[in-house]
Amino acid sequence: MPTEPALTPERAELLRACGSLMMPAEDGAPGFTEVDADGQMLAAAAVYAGPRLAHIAAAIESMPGSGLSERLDAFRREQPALYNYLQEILICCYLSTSKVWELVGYTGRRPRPPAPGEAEEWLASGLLDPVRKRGPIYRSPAPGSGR
Amino acid sequence: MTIRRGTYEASEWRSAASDRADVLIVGAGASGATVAKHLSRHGLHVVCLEQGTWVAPGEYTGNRPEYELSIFGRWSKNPNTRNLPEDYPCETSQADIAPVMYNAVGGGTIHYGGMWPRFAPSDFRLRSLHGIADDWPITWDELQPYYDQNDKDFGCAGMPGDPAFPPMATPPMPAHPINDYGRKFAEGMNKMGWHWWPAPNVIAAKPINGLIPCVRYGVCESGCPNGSKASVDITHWPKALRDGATLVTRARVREILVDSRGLATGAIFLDPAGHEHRVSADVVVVAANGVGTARLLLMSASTRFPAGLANSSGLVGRRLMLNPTPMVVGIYADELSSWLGPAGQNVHSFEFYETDQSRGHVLGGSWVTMPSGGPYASAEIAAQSGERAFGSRLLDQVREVLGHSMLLCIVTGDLPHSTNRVELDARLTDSSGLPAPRIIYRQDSNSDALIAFHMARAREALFASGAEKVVDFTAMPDQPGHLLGTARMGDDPATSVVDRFGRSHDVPNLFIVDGSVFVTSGAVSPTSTIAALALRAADHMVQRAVDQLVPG
Repeated sequence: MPTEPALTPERAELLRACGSLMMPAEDGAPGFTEVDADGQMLAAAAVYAGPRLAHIAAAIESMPGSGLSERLDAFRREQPALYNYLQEILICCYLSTSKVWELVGYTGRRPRPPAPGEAEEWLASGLLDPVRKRGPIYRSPAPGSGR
Repeated sequence: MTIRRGTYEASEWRSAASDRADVLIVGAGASGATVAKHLSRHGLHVVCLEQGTWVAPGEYTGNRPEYELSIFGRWSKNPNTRNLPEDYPCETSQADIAPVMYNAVGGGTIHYGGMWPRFAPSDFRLRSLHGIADDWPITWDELQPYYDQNDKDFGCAGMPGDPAFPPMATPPMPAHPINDYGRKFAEGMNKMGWHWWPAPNVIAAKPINGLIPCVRYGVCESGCPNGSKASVDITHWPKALRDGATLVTRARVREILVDSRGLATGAIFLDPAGHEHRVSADVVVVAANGVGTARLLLMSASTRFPAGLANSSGLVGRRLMLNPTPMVVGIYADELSSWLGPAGQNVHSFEFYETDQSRGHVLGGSWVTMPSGGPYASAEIAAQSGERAFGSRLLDQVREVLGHSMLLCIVTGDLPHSTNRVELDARLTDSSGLPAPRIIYRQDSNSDALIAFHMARAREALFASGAEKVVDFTAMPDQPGHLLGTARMGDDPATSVVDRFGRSHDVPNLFIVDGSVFVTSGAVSPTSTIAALALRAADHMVQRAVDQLVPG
């Protein structure tokens, strides 16, 4: 029975290098390895994605080519769906880092319980009046009646 | 009786040959929990078998930096992506829409948005009103008391007086704030002269049913880390267990058993190690929703029921309806803090809900506004309208969308076609070696026209509300989990699987209480209707318990 490939430190490093190739530092935007410098976000991705990332890394390792760039190109040609999955998960890693959040002005999800009266405030100035004035819009089950 | 009460894993199951529960329920989601809570309250011993396990709110990722990453695997709505041992894969190569679901105590309520609309009265009478599909054997009025009770049992936050519905009881909590983006949308709808209303959600606005008031993380559909959303592992199971129910987790049902009289006698289930166990019961209730229920009934074929259990009509697995759900996204110049929840729905519209055949199609749709998510969701929205960007362009795209956008999701009605169906796949299996369901679903031309009409109107609404740009999704990613119609109810055993109370026409002590029994799909999130039907069925079981035929 075949065993699941493991995401060894070497394969994790390979994926990280893929991230750098896809998202190098450019035009004032930091590169992949810069924003996930300690590799924590990629490690989190590996936890949530299960064995998929190890499979992908193993597949890239097995591609022909003299360097990672060539092997990644070959992987894209031969396994476009998996390449796309890898690309999206690496973009998601990138966009989940605190450095990028700072750059895009995102504070992350924090508890924001509604203030007292807030629900009413958003409906102020008679926002619902036209809807109420129009009256019922549902169709009665009795044919020929209702709307 | 040696069956232990409480909740434990399948490997701990012990019972004597003479043990027989009053009621066996398969599935611990919205409908199974509703039935279990009601029957336990009335003194019946319920044993529920659930192939998943408990999920603690602390496991959810919604308030952690890696939240959006977690949806790529562990917290995906798609069982084929999640690929957990307790999931069963779905063969979807012939499906235009891949069903999503969750296998756990709580079932689909782990992953739903807590949206709590009711069907419209006309949904039960489409044949009489428009010559479409079939009428239900029951009316909206008959279901009304159960809708009202479930508003309390789940904990509904809503605003009374919605003119899209007949008068109904005031929900136990006021509606959540519609937030800045909801107001923006409402202003646009007023310009168009179209209906909108603060939408009902079973998300706590105050402490209720074990729920904690919502703090608007806006991640409801991946599990609420604050314990604010009414998933039935929080709202129902603790009460059922206190009243003496037995809930066995990691228990995968292989087959419902029948005796020589054709009565259900219980079920065989497998624990994670593959060991076989048997549970006997007077009554069996299937609550595994539109895919899982059809799969189990088909797996339960026997000499007496060669086409599958309860399938003399040939309709088990047929008439699958999935509510195709397109989405348009409005992008605004103003900062709208549009990651704020609930998600959940904050505003809904039933302006184009009813059938108007002059539009060139039948059925309608409901609209709901939702927050548009975090940085990765924003990048996905941007990529949908152009190419996937990298570097500074990617960051610019995120800045343009993040907090400046809202989702307008359109739940559309779906016609019941017998060709859209659930079958057993000949090759694909789950982790216990049981056949996986094969989903065969083709979106029809009516849906194509319906979706085109609604997306055009929705774009008008968003532009009227001040959107600078609108992005179209003809199918909302990973939606919907509406799995309906595969064991429809009706009065005629030749054309339906169960009667008006969910009782099988063929097997008088077998009930089906989930979305399978829907005759038509409606065009809203279905869970409140599923739960109302389940509660009505449970109430009937209690009322008619003395007359219930049981195995000897």
